[in-house]
Amino acid sequence: MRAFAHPSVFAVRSTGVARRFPSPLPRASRARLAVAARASSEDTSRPETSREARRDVHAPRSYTREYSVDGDESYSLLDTTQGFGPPDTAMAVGSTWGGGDDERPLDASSRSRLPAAWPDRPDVVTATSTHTRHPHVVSVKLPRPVADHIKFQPRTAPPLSSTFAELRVRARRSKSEDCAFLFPKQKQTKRGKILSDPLRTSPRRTST
Amino acid sequence: MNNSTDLEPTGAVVMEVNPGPPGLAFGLVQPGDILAVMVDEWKQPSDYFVRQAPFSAIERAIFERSDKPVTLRFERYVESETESIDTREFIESHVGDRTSVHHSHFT
Repeated sequence: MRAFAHPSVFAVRSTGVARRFPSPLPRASRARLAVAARASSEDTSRPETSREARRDVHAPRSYTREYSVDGDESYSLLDTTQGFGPPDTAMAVGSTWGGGDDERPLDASSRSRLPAAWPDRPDVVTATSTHTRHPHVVSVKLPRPVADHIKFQPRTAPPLSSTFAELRVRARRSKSEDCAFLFPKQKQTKRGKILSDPLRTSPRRTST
Repeated sequence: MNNSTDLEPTGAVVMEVNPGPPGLAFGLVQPGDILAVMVDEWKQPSDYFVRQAPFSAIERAIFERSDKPVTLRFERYVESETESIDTREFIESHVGDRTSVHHSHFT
């Protein structure tokens, strides 16, 4: 019963529920509670809002609200150009990943001169080539470019449309009839130009 | 939502590890390991989560030439968990060198 002696802590708002179920406290305590609730600065300063609006404020994040209510208002949930949710990749605007010098040339001449040009700072290499090992997570610290150490391939396959397009190109270039049933024959000029191809997408070819 | 990223492959899997110089990851990384995160404190943002990223963007970061080291985190899925657990090596590697676990929860 001691808790009821501190009405400021247990501030009771005058709601319909409270009116329907009156407090079993003695009349003096009820009077003190009412005074405390009325004197609460929160209730007096806040403008009266509807019950729906209040529920909306405290509602969990949903797709019906344009912006999240979890404090992160930097992204919109309804902006379809950005995609749903926060940007999950670091390649968004302002990212510096991949912005440095590109060590892409992989032809024979580049490979031959690569050991001479690498490493730039051997001390850094020896200091950072340690690793940690875990049953499921492997963490390796490597000097750049990473392509010197590891070769990667895409994790997901290209979509089926790309595969279909590749088959189409292969069928056009080769003389075999393996894919002929997929793609009808096209009329060609003597120089090899294709006269009518409605599925053609390359603008360079359409201009010829 | 048909982004341009939908039309190209995503993520990166280790295809081959360079055994000789200048390769330093041989024996640590295995073919089939899935690249999850790239960490570079000099980048903005420092963590690059590459699971859903387009492969062309990942390739750009992989071929990038810089004097700053980069930490790669791989996911390795094994059939039997007991085979890959080596507690002694795990603890030693974490106690001995703190720079390798700078971004992990073990610091």
